[in-house]
Amino acid sequence: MEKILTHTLANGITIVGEPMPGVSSAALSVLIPVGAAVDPEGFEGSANILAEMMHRGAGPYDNRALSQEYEKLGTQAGHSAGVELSSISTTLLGENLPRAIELVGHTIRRPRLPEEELENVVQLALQELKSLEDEPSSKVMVELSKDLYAPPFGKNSMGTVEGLQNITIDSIRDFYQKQFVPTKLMIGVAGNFDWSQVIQSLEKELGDWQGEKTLVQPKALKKVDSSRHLHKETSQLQIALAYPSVAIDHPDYYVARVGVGILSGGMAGRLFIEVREKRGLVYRVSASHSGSINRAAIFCYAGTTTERADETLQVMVEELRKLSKGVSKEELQRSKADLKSRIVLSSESSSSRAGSIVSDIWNLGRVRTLDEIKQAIDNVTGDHLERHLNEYTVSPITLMTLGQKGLEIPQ
Amino acid sequence: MSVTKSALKFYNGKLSNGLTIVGEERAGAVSTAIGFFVKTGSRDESEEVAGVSHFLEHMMFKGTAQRSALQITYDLAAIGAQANAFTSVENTVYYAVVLPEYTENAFDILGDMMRPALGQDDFDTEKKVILEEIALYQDRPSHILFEEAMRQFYLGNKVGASVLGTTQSITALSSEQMREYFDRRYSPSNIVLTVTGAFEWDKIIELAEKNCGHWTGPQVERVYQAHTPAPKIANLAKDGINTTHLSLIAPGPSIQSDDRYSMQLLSSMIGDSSGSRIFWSLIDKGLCDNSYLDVEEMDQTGMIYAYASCSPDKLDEVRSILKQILSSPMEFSDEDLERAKTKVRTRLVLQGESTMRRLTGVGMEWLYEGTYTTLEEELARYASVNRSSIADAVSRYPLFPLTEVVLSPASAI
Repeated sequence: MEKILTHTLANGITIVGEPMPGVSSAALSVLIPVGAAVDPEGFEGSANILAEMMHRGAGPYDNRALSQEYEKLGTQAGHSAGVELSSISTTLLGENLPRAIELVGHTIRRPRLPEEELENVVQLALQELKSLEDEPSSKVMVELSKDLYAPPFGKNSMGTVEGLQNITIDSIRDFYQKQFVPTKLMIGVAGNFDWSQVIQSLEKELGDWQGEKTLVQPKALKKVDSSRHLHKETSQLQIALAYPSVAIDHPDYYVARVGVGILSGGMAGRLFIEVREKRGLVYRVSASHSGSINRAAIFCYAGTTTERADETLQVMVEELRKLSKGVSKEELQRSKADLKSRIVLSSESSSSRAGSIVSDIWNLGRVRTLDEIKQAIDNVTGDHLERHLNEYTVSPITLMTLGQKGLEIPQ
Repeated sequence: MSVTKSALKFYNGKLSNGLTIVGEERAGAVSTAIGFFVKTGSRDESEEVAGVSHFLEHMMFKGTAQRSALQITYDLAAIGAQANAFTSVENTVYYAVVLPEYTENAFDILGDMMRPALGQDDFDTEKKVILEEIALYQDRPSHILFEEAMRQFYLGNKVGASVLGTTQSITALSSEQMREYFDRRYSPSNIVLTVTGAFEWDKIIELAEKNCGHWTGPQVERVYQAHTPAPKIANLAKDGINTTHLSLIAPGPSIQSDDRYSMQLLSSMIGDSSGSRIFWSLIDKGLCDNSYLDVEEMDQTGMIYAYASCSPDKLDEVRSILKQILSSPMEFSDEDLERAKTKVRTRLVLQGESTMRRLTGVGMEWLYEGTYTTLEEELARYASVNRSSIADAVSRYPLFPLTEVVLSPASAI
């Protein structure tokens, strides 16, 4: 079975690796605890701007040269800043990994943060905020998060118009200095690589890096129902809601996941069958579990034409609440089979493995093996699920609607 | 040097009813992907039944003589199958990815699904879902633009038909019309069964015979209409949106054309999402939040599609920069071409490592051309592209757009 390699640098940076026989690719995934949650007040969007600015020249390379150096390696690269974490990831042929680590090292340690690029980067971010207004199904989720999470974790990671406009090159450089330190920085490598060479390269790039900071901890979700409506002339009404659940570090984590799978595990989920298949109310309806530590929640979404919206929400919430009344053996078996199969199938991809192991290290301080995960899913019984769902009820609900009419949370 | 570490082995065969079967086995794969590739899509529909291919794709999950819709869904879920389907202008694909031990079950379910009941009640319910799907896309400006751009570029040609159809055509469609379309198009000779990942070929042939050997159907032909696009400019407006969307289209190589390797590399240099000329001129500068160039190869036709979304007051500037780039396609260095080739190499390696991505690659190629190309051969074809082969391709397919369609916020006009 798979082997997990771990190494910690003297400054605390954690590196995990999973060799994958039979693949030529290698994937590198870096998690850094810098996100919208630590955007300075009045400068919302700083983490987002910084993530982009860091890729506009670093070390010996200016903006264009840095991009070309990455491209010479044939990387499929990405970087983003979320609410809690920024990530830098790259997938390429294993033989090119050492050079990619060098480039990532420049990006993290020696970004040029060039003044002449700031205006372009800010314009791009403002344009993205504008485009979000034209994507109702994404917009409704962004708005829902604002109501669900206690500040500052409900922020839109893209920032705000005012915040973005206030950002200066000095504010970004200052933000970088304070936030980019080795504290809780984590790196995952999966695929075709030479472990000792990876350690050596990372030691060289990041080993002498010093600095510390205190991390912001998310607060618990609020305790009362809430609903909000945003008016927009769209053909469909967007309905999004969320309620608290258990995080990935909780013993019930897979119990909750199996439960959500019964609601929305591909096409056999109750929501899909009741809302779409039997009644034809929607094209898209789904529930998903987010296991972030201290702020875990179950999210549900449906989009439907305005006149069918009341019925859609009614049926959705009924199905959510009905789950604690019991599930059939077959439903349990299907949900478990679906979860396990997704996990095994995604294990073929180096980028997906690198992402999984580094997120495990971040959340749990260790990497779960595929066998351990499969075992945890197998162990879930109907009794567990019933006990869990009676403890973690569908409450409080945070509801967000976007479109031509608002809705009430059904009683 | 080999593209993949694992050995890939190719097989093909044919049942007596005309169903073609192709397979690419990968040593060490932990999954099996199975797909039915049907050579039919919106370009094969008459106007009265616009959208029937896509509606039918939904109905294929709605029950057979043996299984109800629920039973199909439950049976697929019970084996943890990651199953779905998609419809395009010219093909409809049904697939499932499973753990290898469930291959037999997956054949049993998918094979059954491919001969649907098309019951009236299911048809009526599903019609509502399709109408919701159309409404959903009406809220997406880039989709509205794409459909209109296709319609304008392919004016009078079926290739420009909307995959979803319209609210009117779907509302008017009857289950009898759908049945007639199914009988005509879902003939075994018009379908390629593709399997990739972990499998035993003899077993696949046996399962195909058992589950699909009894299928019958007529000889199927696709009608190819000659297409000579004329210059065309269209301006649309939509209420309640904030961003202007622009598309510029020129004729491009078909999937059968050897020019496509040169054009793909050129398109990567001009319009890839990172490091391309469009990226540096429009996205890096903060003029557009999204812009790219895509070479869309289709069956005996093709198009070169440039897209940009920007703030309404930037439209003129963005359009003129895009046109300037498209009118000077040969402005690249040897290093640019090398980097584009390296990108392709990574893409092909990753394709080789994914059972699902290989399914689409192998299945589509056989559906269009009846050939199989190894990843090594594919890579060699890209490697042989040079400045003069690109110049040749460009002389046949100048990128400068013939069709220009703009969708603006109504408030900006």
